[in-house]
Amino acid sequence: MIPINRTMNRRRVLRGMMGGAAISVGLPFLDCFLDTNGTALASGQALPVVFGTWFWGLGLNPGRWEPAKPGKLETMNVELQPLAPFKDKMNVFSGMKAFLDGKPNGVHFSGVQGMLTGTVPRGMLADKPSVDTLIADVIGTRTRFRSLEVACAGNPQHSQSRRNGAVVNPAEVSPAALYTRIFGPEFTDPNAADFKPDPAVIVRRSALSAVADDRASFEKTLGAADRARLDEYFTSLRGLEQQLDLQMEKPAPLAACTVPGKVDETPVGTEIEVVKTNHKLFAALLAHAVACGQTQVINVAFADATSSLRRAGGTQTHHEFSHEEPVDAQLGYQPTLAWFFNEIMGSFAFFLAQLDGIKEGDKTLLDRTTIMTATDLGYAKLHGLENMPMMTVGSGGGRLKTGLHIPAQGEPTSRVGLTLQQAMGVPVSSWGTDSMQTSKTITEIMA
Amino acid sequence: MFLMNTSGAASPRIRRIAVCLTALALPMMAASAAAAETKSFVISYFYDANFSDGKTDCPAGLNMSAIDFYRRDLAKAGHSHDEIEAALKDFPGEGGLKQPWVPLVVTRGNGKDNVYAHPETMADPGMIEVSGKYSYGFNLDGKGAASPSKFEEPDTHEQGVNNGLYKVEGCIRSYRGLPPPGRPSLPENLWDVLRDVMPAWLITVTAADGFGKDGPVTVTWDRALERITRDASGAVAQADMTYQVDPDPRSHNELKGQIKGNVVTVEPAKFNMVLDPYLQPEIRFEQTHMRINIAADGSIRGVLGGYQPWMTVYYGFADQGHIKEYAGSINLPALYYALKRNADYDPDPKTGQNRQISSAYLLEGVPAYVIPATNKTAAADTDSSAKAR
Amino acid sequence: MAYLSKILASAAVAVTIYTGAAVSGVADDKPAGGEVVTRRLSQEQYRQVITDLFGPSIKVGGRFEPDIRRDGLLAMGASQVSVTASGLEEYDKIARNIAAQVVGEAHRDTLIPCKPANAKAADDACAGQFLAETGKMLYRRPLTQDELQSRVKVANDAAVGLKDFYSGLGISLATMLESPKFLFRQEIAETDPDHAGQFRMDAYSKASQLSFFLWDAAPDPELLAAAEHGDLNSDSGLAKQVDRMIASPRIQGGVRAFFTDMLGFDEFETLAKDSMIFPKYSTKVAKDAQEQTLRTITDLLVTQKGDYRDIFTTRKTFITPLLASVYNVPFVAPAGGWAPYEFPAGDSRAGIVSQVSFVALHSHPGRSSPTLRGKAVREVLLCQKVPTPPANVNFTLVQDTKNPQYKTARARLGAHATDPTCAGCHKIMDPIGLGLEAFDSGGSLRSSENGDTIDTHGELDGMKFTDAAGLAQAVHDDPAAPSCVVSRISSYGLGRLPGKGEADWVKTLQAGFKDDGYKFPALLRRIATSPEFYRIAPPQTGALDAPSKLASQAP
Repeated sequence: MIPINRTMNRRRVLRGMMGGAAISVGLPFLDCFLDTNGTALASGQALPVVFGTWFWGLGLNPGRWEPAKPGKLETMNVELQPLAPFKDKMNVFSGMKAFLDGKPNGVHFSGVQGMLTGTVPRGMLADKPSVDTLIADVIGTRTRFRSLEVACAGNPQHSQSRRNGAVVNPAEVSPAALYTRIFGPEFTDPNAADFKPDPAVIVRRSALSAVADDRASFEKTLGAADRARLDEYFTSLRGLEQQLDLQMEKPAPLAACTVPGKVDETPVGTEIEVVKTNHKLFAALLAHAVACGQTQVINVAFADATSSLRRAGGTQTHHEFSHEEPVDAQLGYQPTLAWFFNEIMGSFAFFLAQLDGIKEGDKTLLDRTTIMTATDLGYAKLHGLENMPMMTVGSGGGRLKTGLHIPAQGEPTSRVGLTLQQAMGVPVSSWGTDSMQTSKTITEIMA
Repeated sequence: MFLMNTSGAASPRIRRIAVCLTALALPMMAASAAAAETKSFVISYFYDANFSDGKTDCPAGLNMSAIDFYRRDLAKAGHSHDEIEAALKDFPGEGGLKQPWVPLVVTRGNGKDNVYAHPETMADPGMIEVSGKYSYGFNLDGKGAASPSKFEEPDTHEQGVNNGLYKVEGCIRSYRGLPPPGRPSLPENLWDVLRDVMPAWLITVTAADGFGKDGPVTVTWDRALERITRDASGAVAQADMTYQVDPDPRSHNELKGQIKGNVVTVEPAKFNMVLDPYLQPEIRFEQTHMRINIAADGSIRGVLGGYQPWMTVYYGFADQGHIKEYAGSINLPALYYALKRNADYDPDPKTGQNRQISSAYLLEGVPAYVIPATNKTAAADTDSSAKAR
Repeated sequence: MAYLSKILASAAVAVTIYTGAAVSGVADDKPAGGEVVTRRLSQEQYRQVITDLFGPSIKVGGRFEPDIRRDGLLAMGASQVSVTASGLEEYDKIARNIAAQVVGEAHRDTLIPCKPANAKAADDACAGQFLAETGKMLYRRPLTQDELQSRVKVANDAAVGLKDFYSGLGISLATMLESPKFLFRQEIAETDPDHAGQFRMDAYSKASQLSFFLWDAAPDPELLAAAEHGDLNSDSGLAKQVDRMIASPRIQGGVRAFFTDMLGFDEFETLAKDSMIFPKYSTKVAKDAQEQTLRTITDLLVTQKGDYRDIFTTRKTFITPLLASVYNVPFVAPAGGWAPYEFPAGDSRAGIVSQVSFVALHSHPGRSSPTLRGKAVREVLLCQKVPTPPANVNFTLVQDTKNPQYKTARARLGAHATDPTCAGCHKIMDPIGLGLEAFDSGGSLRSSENGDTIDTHGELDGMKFTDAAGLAQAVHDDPAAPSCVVSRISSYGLGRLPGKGEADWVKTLQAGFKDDGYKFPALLRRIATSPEFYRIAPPQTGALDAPSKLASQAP
């Protein structure tokens, strides 16, 4: 591999190619090409692995989702019934918890942060990157989008994906806008017969170097804390440069890639039917985006932690029901909550079906994907962080064994994050802080 | 059925008092039993009172759709099968005058004259009329059970309801009623489009003895200077908006009546409202009857009926010619003959042909402030009524 | 490179640039200031810059990275945010879109001060002229030689590549619009010659500090010129600019921007109301409601130069016919737009707390919330922090009766108030919010809920009241209200919380506010003319970088 000369002036190199000559000559390899993890360059080799998270608020009703027996998943408990078609491709972990270690319970925040970042923060502000960004840094560097985040209930800040802790990666809330972003004018169809790099793209790519050059003089005026914060800006800039670099290369053809039809504007809000409609559109778009090689990391927030979902004409949100609805004396659980959870799990099943519905050879897109579910609580009524529902779906191209129920009573939820990072090739042997710190891989699911 | 309040009732409305600009209303003023009170409303929906239970109103089926009756009429007019099929090949196309079928259907009476302006140049092709038992409306001729009209009012069960307009329209598929809260589709659409450009209609009811007891009322109907503003759902009018009364006498009506419980009725009188040629240029009633139910949340549902000139009704359709004909599948010459045939009032002294036809319309309204016109420029902001959706 | 020196004047100002750090004790009699804050432009500020620079016909489209709220203000969150990958993707799109319009045929003759020798080729002279002028307004200071050269080169390369001067210029302009030097407000410090060992913002940083504070916009050419001439470093020069800016109609925009932030109006964007339960409440109502409150406030504080506390009790406001239907009052306005309206004497609706923008914002989608409203009064208007609820809240108490359906909110919360674990915090919120229960979640007045009459008595820190107007008076009389706005506005201007050394300054401002009769423009003037507003704490290490030349235009 050609080593990178980072000081090489891209503009000089690119200028020599104005005239439409073949692009692959002379262009320095991007550093990601040195990545030992993947083999995405040459066609005919295994399609790359995909990772995703699917978040919903308020957990599930305890006692109604845990599989009865450890080991092979035979039958699904009632609240996971909608996922029964995928039982052979998924793993369920019961009994896992988030440890507060004496910190105040940030109710709808501590548990999900512990699960996704390995750290339960003091106070309400997270300070660690989420597992999807850590994995994206390994598997997401050679795609047009390092990752794609969507929020189905209308607020970009429902996203749980964060790079530096303080601020989330904002999510798309409009399926129509996501369609334009992915499949609009800047989309390069990998299966298109001819490919001519757009001269404007070459020029833009060259021009962006000037912005990168601003860095040195700009950083001189920053304090240490600001420097760390503005680092993210420059990481984002590299991402933009990479997007343009990819637009200048002919992408490898992808048999399973089909461009979806244009998506019209839809209303956006927290009413459950609206959320489900937008979720369906997002699920389809993300599946197509992955099949077309646009990204390898997808993050879905069905609703916010707290879950402001509501029914049309109803005065209470899902969240309010979780606290105010009594446990039914006959049934032994909160029935309206069960209704919401059924809608939510049904939507998750739809999402999985979108991935599973794309055939790639004798397998499906879901087979080379691993989706990690995430939620904020184990028992919403009392903000309980015990027994948080944890699942993974998809073997990640054979990296994981599936179809198992792993009881893990009292174990930190970070074990799942650790295990998945390892499966995806992140060089990590221990992850998390305080009692969430773990180095115990869930070996039962490692292939 | 129609007069039951099917909208989701919110918390009980505060009793409302209409105001003029000299005094501001206090929302919670208690009314003494003897003092007069006024409630005012703006009309959200107004449409032909076409009843349907889906089964018994049109046992003979519905009138055929436009492409079918064009085929039939053109064949009757002497065109060959091939000629007809060629003309109707891309029916309706854009519907504009350039479509090949348009010149043929426009003159399908005698091949020369505009059949909408001169419907009698074409033989009556016939119209399937309503033959069911029920109709909204009123016993306008006073004959009741002895009336030649055998309609019964579905809510009040009044016998001998006179509603020739319904009889004519009720089995045209675009005019057929739907069980409440549904409305006949084309009238609903037309009104929906119209209310964004037409000034609003206002009703006030003044109860001489207050609304707490039965007694005499005065009902006014007026046109506003403003158009309605739609509420968040976009379907109904926003409640509690302020409207200024258009002082034009052509759209002012005062009727005397009674209130019993929450139902307002009026004594027969003349009535006129300026409407819009998109529906029909005006509504002009004789023997006007009205029944309005005031619901607990302050909204109203009601029926307005009377005899109106059937030619006015016909021209409301005919002035748009082939467009309303094909879009609504309403054979206009057939409609002409059916209206003429069902006209049941006011015979022409020379010919004996009745010049007016019994009709009824349903209305839905929400509370509004109705005030006399002020000096301020008062036309509603187009933006606010559009964006309010 | 000769053409560049024609453009550049030789009046380079030597500036010391240093690395900022936290406050440390300094042996001087004046307080030491805070650390440098690097704030990202808000969406509104970005749009205002484009409008001010290129005119209102240039459309700014696209989705901006969300701003975040810290310590009660978006203005403070601005110093915590960076730019995420999808955020930069969007900034790039927005930038290219703006640039394409600026250099497009419709606008190039008005917006570009020169013409290229050949429109199909590069022209460094013309590009340089445009980029220097525009760059100065975008970066809010003159460009350095390096900065200008780099962008002229981009324009040149792009013009050659695309065989079009204007496209090339557009590409270069777009890179300026996505540069951190545009997107972030740099604070550059220099030694303070009047106070040994102290640092202050350099003239251009001062200009930005002042301009975003008073007008929520980048410095205008007159202010930049004043910075260039050193006027901002003298008390009289600074005061002259401050007075000019406060007297300008643009002060309204600045005051509106502050209250929009303080009152949390950004939350309207994601506020949901069930349209079946509240059919009157539409997005247009939400927009009008915010505008109503902002007009009420700016009219009272800026136009009438009134007492700040009166915003809580004034019955004078401005509404539209649509708002009138929500307030359930008859109302006519010219062309259905805005007109003044006064609620009658004795009406429970007085002040901004009873306005739709407050009561509807602090409610659930399907019902009102005394707790949310009480919390908002405490946190937004009185700057009092309410503790977060404990995680192990036990709701069995609420359900421990035969009929869990309480008819009114007061009844529902009454059950909470008897449990000692709940009562502690609910006691400081609910009695306030219960005074507003006559307003439903959509902001309309109601007298009963589920058939039971609504009782609106309550209390705020011992001041009892029987309705919303009484609550308004209680807030008006609470000394925490004016202190709170002083805290907020000073943090808003600084972009951070005042440090320990600045506490006295804030106290002085609060006392001054009272002396001024709580007049808001006077408060703005006090802050904008305080040296504390422009002070920067000295660095911990003390290492200073070499001075760098600034390119500046000939005056």
